[in-house]
Amino acid sequence: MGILRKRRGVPFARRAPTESGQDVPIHIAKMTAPHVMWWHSHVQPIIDRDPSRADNGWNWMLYVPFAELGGRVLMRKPVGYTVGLSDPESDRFVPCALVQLLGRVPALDEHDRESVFVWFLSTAPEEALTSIEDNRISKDQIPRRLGTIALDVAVTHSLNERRFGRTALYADERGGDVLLQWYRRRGMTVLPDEDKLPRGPRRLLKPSDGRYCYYTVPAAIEASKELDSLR
Amino acid sequence: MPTPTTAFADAAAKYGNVDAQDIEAVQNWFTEVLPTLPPEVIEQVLHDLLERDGEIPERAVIPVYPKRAPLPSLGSSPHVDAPFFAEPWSRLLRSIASRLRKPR
Repeated sequence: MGILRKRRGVPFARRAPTESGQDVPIHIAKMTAPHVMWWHSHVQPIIDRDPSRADNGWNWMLYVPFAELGGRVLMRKPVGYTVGLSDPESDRFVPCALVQLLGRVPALDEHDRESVFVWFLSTAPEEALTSIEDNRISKDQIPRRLGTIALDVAVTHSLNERRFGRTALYADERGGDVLLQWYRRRGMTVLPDEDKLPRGPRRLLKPSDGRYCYYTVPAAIEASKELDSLR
Repeated sequence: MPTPTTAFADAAAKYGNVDAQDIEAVQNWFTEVLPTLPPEVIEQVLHDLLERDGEIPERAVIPVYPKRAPLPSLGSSPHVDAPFFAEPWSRLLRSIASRLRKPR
């Protein structure tokens, strides 16, 4: 199964669990300007009221155009995804998580291999989804495991783009040990702070400090398998 | 934390002569103006921003949120397809059958 997954790729998640016990259908779409605009208008103000969140004060209106542009100039194949609830009846799409990736960076563990890098990842707090005017979602219909699903988007992209699941990220300092442990529980390895990053601007400007995490190929495949029931 | 908004504002002021306090003008510069600049400038801006990655901002930028942006439509947000052979066989067969059923 691991070999097939590496060779054929894997579909993105299509369902998310809820408190009610029933799964809700989700869509993984390419991130577009209306998604980001709605997020910055409706979700980010709620995130900004919570100083304990690692994504407090983020501005996707700046990150997305810049990640696209910077990534293109450096040939890093940037791509953004939105995880959202789909409502075919009203033709509405409710963004629940945003993921901005660089599709082609040197892997942290094998510098001559290519990996995906998660530049930004954010999930909507419950309040943001239950307070949408004229499209309220009841509490027991809120999708759960959004962080895991958003991280899986990066791993799925890596598998489907022949990076074989290799995925890396930097665990925001504000998330502290809790965030680092969360990534560890998802099967990621933390790069020891004495290890060097691959060549590139990050090695100089944001060197290894014990907060870079990565998936090895076998760990990524295991993590991917765990979400198979939601694909 | 990632590069703070103040670093973006300072980059827009340095390379685009934009008022660093006007966050909407900063956003506009990154969306509209920066893509038209030479790659060397973009690379320099990226360098400046990465250099300040993790910095605790020395001043606050008052966020400006767009007023009542509408919910995106599902029609313009299609589910991203997986590679053809990545789909489960049952879904593949259904997809082939529905294509065959389509009137030509």
